[in-house]
Amino acid sequence: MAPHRSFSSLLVALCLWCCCSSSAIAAEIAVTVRDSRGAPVRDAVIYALPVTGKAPPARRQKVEVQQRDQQFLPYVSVVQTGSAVLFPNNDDVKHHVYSFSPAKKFELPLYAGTPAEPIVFDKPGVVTLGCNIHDWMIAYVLVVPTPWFAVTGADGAAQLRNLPAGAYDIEAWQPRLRNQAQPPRQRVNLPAQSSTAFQLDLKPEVRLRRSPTDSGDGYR
Amino acid sequence: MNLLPFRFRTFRGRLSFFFLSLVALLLATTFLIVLQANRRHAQRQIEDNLRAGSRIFSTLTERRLDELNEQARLLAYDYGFKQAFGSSADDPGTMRLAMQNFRDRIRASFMVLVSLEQQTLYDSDASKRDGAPFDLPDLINAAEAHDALEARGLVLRDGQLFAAVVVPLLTPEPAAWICLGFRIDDSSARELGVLTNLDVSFFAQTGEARGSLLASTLPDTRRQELLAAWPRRGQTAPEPTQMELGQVPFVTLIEPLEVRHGRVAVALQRNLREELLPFRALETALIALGVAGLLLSIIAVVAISGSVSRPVLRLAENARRVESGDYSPQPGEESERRDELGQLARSFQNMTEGLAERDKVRDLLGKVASPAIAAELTSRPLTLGGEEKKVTVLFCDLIDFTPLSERLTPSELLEVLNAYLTAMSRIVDAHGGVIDKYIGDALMALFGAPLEMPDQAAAALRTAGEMRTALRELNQRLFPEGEDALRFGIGIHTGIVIAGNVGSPTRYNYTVLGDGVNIAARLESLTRSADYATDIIVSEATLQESTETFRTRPLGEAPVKGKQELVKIHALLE
Repeated sequence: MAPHRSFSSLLVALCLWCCCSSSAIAAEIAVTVRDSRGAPVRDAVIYALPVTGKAPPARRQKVEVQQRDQQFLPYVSVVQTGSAVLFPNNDDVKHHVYSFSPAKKFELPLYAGTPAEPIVFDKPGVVTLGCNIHDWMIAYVLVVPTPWFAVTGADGAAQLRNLPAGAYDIEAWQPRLRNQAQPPRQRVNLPAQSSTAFQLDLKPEVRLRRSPTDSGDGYR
Repeated sequence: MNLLPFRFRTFRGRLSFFFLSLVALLLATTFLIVLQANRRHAQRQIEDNLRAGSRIFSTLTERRLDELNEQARLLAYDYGFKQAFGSSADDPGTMRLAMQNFRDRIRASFMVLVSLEQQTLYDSDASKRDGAPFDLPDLINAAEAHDALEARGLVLRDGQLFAAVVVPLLTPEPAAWICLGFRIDDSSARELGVLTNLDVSFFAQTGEARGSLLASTLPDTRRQELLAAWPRRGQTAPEPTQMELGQVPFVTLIEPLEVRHGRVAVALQRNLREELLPFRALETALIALGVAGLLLSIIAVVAISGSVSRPVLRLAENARRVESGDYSPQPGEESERRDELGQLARSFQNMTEGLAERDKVRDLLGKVASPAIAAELTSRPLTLGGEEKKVTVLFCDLIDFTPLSERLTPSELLEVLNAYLTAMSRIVDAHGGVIDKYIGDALMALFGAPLEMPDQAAAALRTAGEMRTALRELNQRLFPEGEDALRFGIGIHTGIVIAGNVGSPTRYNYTVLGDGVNIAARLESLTRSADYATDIIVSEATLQESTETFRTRPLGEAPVKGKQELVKIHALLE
């Protein structure tokens, strides 16, 4: 698995380089996300939409949302519209992954291992993932019409790289965002601007209690 | 001091009355104390039952809501339902049918799917509500505020009471609210009633009107009475109070229920009459016990007072007999008793015997002495000595009795003598005289001693006259042929004598001593002299003393033995 993975990252880096070289200067911008009380927000998705409206089409990237220890990993994923996502099951129990989200309704009835066919996310929007037999399992896939996106870490910071110079609308989204219909948006000019910050209005965190037979802290 | 408005004629009655009063008082006091304690205990027990019922009611309601919550939660995780919801935009008909199916599966009364914006998405029963704001927003707000995004409680909806729960539809994050309602109707009330052993009634208090009864365990007639008796709006009875439903008292506890979208109170009631049945039975038993105790007391008191008063009555009867002079012994069981009454009976018997003895003595005394002397002797303390008194002494002796006594046998002689003395004595007695003594065939009588006698001289003279007549009649009876007739001589004199007890301290006679006695004896002996030719000689002193005039013949003066002067004497004529 490891050699395969390093190969794919090399491929991505090569492609990005090609991209940048073709559109003259490649810019990057650092984004920090905080909540209304100023605390860094993790699992926030940052993505840049070119003001001109032309975003490069999605490349055939391989995205995975795996199930490990009866949790989805990662909790928040972001893909460009048209991406295919695999849901490998790394547990020794089966899972029943589903989504009733309008952006993508699908269902992977009780399965083990990695399904042969990936799920293609062909519409932008939020896709909430659940498992029918593990009520506490939840994950989000944000489908965005742009290849420039990132997810904040525990420090609430993320970096958008390799953007061609120009004007962008940067949006920030988080599962707990109160106004899901209209995520906050900022217009930036690259490469003139090298950083920006978002303050998100979040709902309090609600997590379902995990079945007590499981190991772990009981929460997702 | 008589506190009673009436008087008992018998000791027995008084005894019985006081004993029974005491017993009745004791019984009544005991009864009242027990009754009061019983009532208090009953009241407390009923109130405790009611409060316990109230707690059970609260707990049951909580439990029921918990159950409903669990059921609703299970439903919310149903994958088929989630799928139906996921495709509901294209197929609302299926969604509604699915909801009706789920509603029936858990026997709920209604099921509503509410959007996160609190718009009614689907109502299992009324599609016309779809799209309208949900009518129980408080419940949703409560769920939103809750950690587990759940809420439950009692709600008033369309004039009916429901236990309602709200749970989120998780796909897997909250996509909508599921609200389930379970109607609280008469059968729910009955179930609660059976478990709490109370009558349970739910009452909506809406607006100014008295409101309406939502559900109850009471029969229809009682419901109307409960509605009429229900306190005014906003009032409750957090402490047990008494409420009359058709003349039947109910202990009632009215508590407000925590209800969303309305004001509802619950009345928990218990039929006081039924509740008091065991206590009434106890009271009846107490009364019966009291009456039985009283009856037993009456019997006991009557028996005891009888055992006291019967011997007393018999003693009283004996006393009456003794009073009338009957001293014959009356053996009774009383004297066998060992108690005070036995002592009394024995003392009484002894006393009777003593009285009989004394009467016998007195009788004897009256026979040997004259009754007047016997009375004089017994009336005063017996002492030797006497007093000076003016007394008329009558001396009477048979003359020429010795030849007769030689001719008759002693018993014949005694018979004649007794007949004679009896006749004479009777005349003396009849005139108030007193026989002082018999001396052989002679007798000595006193007039004026021991009792004072105003006309003593006349009485003595009349006595002497009658004695003469009596002797004649006696002679005719004893000696019809006229041979051997008895003759007597009588001497009468009035003078001062000493009258009193004469003898030794152990034995003495009442008698008179002095010249008067001697003169009377002397005058009697003068009758034997043929010169005077009379059988009765009276002294001048007696004639002067007499208040009556008698026919007499003066006999001149006669010397008297032992006296210097002569005594003027007279013969008493017929």
